[in-house]
Amino acid sequence: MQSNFNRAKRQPAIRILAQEFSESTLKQQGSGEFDPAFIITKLGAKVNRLVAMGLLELMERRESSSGLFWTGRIRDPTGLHFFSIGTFQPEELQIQADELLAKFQQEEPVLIMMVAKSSMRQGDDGSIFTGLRPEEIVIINPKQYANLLVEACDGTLKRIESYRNSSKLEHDVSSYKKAGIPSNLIDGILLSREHYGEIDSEYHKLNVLRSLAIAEGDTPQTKLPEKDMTLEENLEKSNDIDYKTIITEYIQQNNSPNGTDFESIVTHCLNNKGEREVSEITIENMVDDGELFEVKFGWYKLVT
Amino acid sequence: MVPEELRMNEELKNAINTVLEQCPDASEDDIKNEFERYERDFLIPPKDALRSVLRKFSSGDIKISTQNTTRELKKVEGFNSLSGEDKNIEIEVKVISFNPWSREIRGQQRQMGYGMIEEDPWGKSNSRERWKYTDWGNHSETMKPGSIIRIEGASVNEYEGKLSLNINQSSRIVVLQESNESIPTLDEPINISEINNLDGVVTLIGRVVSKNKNTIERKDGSGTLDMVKGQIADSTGKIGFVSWVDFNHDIGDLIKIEKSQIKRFRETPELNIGQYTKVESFRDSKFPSLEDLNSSSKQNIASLRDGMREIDITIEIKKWIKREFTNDEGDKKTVWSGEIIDPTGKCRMTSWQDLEIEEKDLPIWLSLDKVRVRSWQGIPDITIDNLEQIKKHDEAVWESIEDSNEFNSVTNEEIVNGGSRANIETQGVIISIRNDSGIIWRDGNRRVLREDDDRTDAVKDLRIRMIMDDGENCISVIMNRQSSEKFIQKSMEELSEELNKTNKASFIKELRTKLLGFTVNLKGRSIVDQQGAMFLAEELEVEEKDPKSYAMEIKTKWGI
Repeated sequence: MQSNFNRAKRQPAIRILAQEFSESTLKQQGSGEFDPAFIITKLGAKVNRLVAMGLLELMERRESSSGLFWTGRIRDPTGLHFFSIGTFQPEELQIQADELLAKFQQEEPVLIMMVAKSSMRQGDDGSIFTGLRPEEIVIINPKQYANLLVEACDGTLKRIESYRNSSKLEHDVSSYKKAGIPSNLIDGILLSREHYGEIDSEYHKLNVLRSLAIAEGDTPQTKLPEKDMTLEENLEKSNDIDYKTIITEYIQQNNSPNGTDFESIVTHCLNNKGEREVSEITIENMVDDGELFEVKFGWYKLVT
Repeated sequence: MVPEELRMNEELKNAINTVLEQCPDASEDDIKNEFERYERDFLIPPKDALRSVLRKFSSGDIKISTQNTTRELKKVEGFNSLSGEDKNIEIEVKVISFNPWSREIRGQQRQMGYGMIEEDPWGKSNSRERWKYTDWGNHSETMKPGSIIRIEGASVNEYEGKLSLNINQSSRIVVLQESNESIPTLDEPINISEINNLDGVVTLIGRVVSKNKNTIERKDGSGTLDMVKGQIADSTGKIGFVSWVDFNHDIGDLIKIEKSQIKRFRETPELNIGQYTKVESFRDSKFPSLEDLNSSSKQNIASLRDGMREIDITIEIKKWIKREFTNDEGDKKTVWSGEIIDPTGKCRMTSWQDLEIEEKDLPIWLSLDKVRVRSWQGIPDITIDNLEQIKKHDEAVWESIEDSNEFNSVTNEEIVNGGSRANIETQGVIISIRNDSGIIWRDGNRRVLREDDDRTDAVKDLRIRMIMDDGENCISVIMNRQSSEKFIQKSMEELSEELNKTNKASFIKELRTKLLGFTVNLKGRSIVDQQGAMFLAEELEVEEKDPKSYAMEIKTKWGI
């Protein structure tokens, strides 16, 4: 048995895009009291600490029986990170959280980098949420953001390649080692295969390409063509899909005492040729209109 | 296929329309301008900026309600104090059985388990009840039959009036007593080069390259102890071993050592062969021969570590000085020391014998045989004990290396996995600034005083501490007063005065803004020990990286 007793050794901060991290459902915790906990991603990253970067999309201060806490969301080109800061965290971080909240409330775009510990919690029905417990938060400029995105793409591409190379091998440590799979990925890829089965990494690659294009900044998407173009057509197209009915039917079919979770509703819409933003907005509209009830954060029930 | 340009415009149009639907009073141009600003100034495309733009134009905030989900932890001794409603339970139990089970949940295969657990594992009462349990959280590693565990955060499941325990994914299992039942482990042999970063028990395959019988006196004077010391090698390196049991293998034999404990002499790992270690002959016709291993086991300066023994190395002497001193016993002693160099770096060398080298004859090339390494302040120092260890070369082995204080460029990985080195240069991203950076006070022993310690006779000092990380390796970075002053472009006194007006927090904040998330170039030296790698930076420069060319570099690297 090879074991590593270097408990004091700091875990590296994995460069990762939101999508790869947030789709993870596997947590690995050693049996020792001080063993680090890892979230294992589909591409085999073992994430104990990570660097997240993106737009601060939401920041709130809330109060609970155990004191004040702050929650928020960071959006990168591939998805969302959820973070929370509690009063058990260092005071400096709480001060920073309030500063960030003030900045957010000014309704100015804020790009941030966050170095955080990974966390995972499970709802009573077994659904899994990933999250961040920040250690460092800093407001960054677009150039830094772009560089951090590229760095995360580099890390992701390395994992994609290693994952693809591992597909044709016998799935054990020595075969991976012989085939030159990087040693920091061997364990993670084996765990991933055991838990997620064989995955298709093409989706991750598309996300990387999108992020790289954004980092390069040479594909602006905000240039509108002349007015006479097919504005109406587009409108019609997006109106073709009846989001409300899709969502209502889905929640009816998947009714549980705790409600139905946000992400699976959106996924269902996507599977029905819907678009993410529109589905997200529709859900929120339905809550506002009193058609849906948010049982707890991110969990919905039909109002009957 | 929709042309790229059209598709992108669609993205913007859809986004604008969505905002307009929500906020009919907003002007389309304003919305468009806002999306453009997000993309132009902040690299956030319309699709991703949608929610933020919506928030700006909608009159009220988009409220997200939440429930307070903190639950009281319920600590119980036995199963009879549990009811069907109980959640977040803590209980200590003995694992009777564990049956692995995999099920598809939300389209994904999940490893789970079920079995029996028994209450009252420490035997306080006479009758013990057993319950069924279901493990939803892949705890197979910790829930070994026979072991006593503490389950934190379990919940009770009631089905047809029968109660069982649910061990959730978020539950924590603490092993209180390991199971006595033998659990087979996979003993994968590892390469010798991997041992530098490991502790614990390992298995490896190698060829015996040296072997000496030794007898040592027991510390308590109760007699002597026989031992065998030697070295074994594979294609990745060489490692010393000490055997406390019979070792019946000769030089040149290929052996497999199972379950050998890694011990360390200073920073150099060594294999310990004891009664639980299994050593046996191994057959592999492709394994490198003794000659190959011997010729490839030559070291270079970059790979030297404190405590290494029996090192073969070729070096060039740049400086050589004779020193005389009187030791504590009043004897006059002579020692020679100087600086040596090879293509991988520079370090020091000390000799207790006169090598008959004059300063005027330098540079001179030496091949050293079976020398040892000590280290002082992280810089390796080769020690020569007798003249048989050296061979002088009449001609230059390589073109004399200019001792120009040049910095060797190394990666973070090389630093973390190598020995301590001087004159190196490296790049990485700063991901953390330590709050104890700034002005500090030291006592007579250079110990850093705490806030409330007495500062009489203390000396003021300045330092900056941070963490550099390339995504795979972490290095703790320290800048002393001199390099900190250079970086902040202020003297310690100037900073001290400034901090009287502002405070330490604002200084740290300034450092964070200047450094966090930036790639930096560091020059200085590294100290690597069991705690990890530390870089003493003489110079820190923030690198200006152009995202466009960086992205291009990554695309080329991965062929996309």
